Amino acid sequence: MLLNKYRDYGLTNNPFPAQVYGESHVYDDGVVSKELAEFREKLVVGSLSEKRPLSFLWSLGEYGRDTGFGKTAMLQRVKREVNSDWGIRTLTNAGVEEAVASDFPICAVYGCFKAREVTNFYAGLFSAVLDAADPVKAEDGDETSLIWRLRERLFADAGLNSEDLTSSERTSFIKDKLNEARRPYGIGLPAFRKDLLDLLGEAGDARGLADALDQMVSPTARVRNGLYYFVTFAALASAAGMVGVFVFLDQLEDLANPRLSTKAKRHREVERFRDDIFEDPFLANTISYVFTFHRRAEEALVEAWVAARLPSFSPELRSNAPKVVILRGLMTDASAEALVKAYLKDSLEDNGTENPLGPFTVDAVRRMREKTEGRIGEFLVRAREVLETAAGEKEPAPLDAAYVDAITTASLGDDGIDGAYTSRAISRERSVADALLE
Amino acid sequence: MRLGWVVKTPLPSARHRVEAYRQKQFLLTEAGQKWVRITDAGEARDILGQALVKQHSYFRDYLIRLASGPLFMPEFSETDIRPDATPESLDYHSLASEVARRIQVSPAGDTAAVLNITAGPIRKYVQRRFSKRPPKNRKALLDAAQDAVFSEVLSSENLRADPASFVIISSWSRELFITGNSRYVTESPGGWLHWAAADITTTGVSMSYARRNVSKFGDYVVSMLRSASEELKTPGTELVKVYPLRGTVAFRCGVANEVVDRVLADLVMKKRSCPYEVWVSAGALIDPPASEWPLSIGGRRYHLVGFGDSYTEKKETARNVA
Repeated sequence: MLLNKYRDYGLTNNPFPAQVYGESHVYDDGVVSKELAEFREKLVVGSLSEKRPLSFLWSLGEYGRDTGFGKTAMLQRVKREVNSDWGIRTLTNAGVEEAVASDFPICAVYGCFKAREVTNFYAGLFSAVLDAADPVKAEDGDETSLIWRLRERLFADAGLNSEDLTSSERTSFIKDKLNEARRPYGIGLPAFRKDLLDLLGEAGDARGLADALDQMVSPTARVRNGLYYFVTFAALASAAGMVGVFVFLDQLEDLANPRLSTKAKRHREVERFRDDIFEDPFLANTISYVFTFHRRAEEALVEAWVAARLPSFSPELRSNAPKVVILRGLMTDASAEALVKAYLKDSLEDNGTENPLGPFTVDAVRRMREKTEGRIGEFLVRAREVLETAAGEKEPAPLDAAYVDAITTASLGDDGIDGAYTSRAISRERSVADALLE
Repeated sequence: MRLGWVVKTPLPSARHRVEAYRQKQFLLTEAGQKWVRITDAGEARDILGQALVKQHSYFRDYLIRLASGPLFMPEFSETDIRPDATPESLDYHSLASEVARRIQVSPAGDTAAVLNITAGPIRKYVQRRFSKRPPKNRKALLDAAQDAVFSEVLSSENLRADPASFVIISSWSRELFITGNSRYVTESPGGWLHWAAADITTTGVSMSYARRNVSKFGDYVVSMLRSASEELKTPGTELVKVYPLRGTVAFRCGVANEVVDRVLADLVMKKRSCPYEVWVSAGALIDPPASEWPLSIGGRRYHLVGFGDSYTEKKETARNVA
């Protein structure tokens, strides 16, 4: 670190993130232990045992806010756990016997819609394939990826060492195995992508495969042909013995955003959900999707969803409870404290032996939770801001609720800074508060 | 000036004279100064309302009309007019019959004077507007046709206000919580519905009103919110947009639109007992129409609201089933 401003607080740095979009490097299971258990039981084991192709991870905030509750972090957390041992730990954590769990190998990929480029279902599926190809450091220090491990598993199951074969022999073998895996589901299904099959045979390692895949498929091709790359990947997983492939699709609001897409396009995309999630026999039998949902996405998609006769996603219906997990953020002070401790742990010079909350008092943590409405992402950013401001102002520890209030309450005019942006709504609210109405 | 709160001074007689008045100061009379010194917004609002009733005959006429039942003003969009339409070729007969039809099927159908709606005055109004130069575009033609429709409906209702004055008067009475209005009442067939949000009584030439407020009508609003939301929600979701719900419930209960907001806010903040669950959502992708606004609670804005059975209600239902 260039300059440690946080030494007076017993910290080596400010460990809280400046922004929390997407994955965080810290994930404390204790913060969302109930939701994590539900995810494993309902959305993984439940989907496998009920052959359910589509489940939902909702975020619902107490004050109607619906982002920043940790959906992405939860999906990435479960994906890593599933892929670490082909799902054995996930299944056993959900109550499946270990001997049984090893007979049900599964894997998981993460796809994400984005306002630019990943704006349709096929592009979302391609982003999941890219995620499967993304190399990560394995325990032995080497880089590997899910798609590479599936490829190696395919050869190993046949008693082959891929390095003993030429690239054309590898491609031919992979192609045969993929066709064999899908043959029971009939003919007329989406074609495999020849360029991906060739790449699976030619690539020398996981990194080479990932780079080549990223380069060879243009943004336009991802939008048009993403399904075919995805089908090729799904067949590879099936041929490698996976009984289920979990596809976590995030940021559905970017598919549903009425400012980015027309109503006709949203209807077309939702129809594709029906075609490719429920009606393609191979995909319906192999893939279990988890869609992230919140109120904005619901409002934008519901009309097309009902028109396509897709199963209800409504979190209020008890009949949907088996396929819905709801993230509500930091519901208790204890969960907020656990999160602070998890982030501070590696940055406290005494490793948190004296005060695991570092410079924060218990009431400061509570106040930050209240002010951020329990939204995990907002809470972490707020913690960073409080710490950074305190260090800049040389505020002595401990940092308490009064200090949090003092620096996070707007002070420009009667309405505060916020007033400038919400004046119409506030004047309406004042009008509604008029004693004449009582 | 008409209220006697501003010293009588000449006003601009035409739009092009406004610039000359931009820096001119208008002085308050003693009564005007007394009014602006009132610190209680509700009291100031009430005194203003009484003064308007006394001094402004168009305002008084509007309230007296609403005392006998709702008033419906059909509204049209650009797509209702053919792209190549001109002031001469516009189908005035169809327009007049559509105006009459909409009024008849609207909640104002029982009390409205629809028989007087004819094509002739509408045609005359539009053609007079474009007698010197033709409309610049379809929007200009629509605006003229819309004003003509308003003028004709007001005339058939024996209301003397012109369309622009009518819009101003209705916004006054709305801000004073004496009337409600909305373009999104579910029973309305495309137009602007106005209703009384107060018990308005006339004795000879004098008129008085008593607002239908939260304490008297709150429970009625609570019961209506749930049933109206069932009609308004899209199949597949429990959510309802706030603005059509607000308009529909306010009209059916005969209260000001703001009364519905107040009751909703009280339910959300648990300040009022509630037989069901209420949840709100920011719904940030929704842009309400210009005439509407989101529900605002504590400075936070919400565009969507949902209703569900309360826990005790669920238990009761389960017990009954058992």
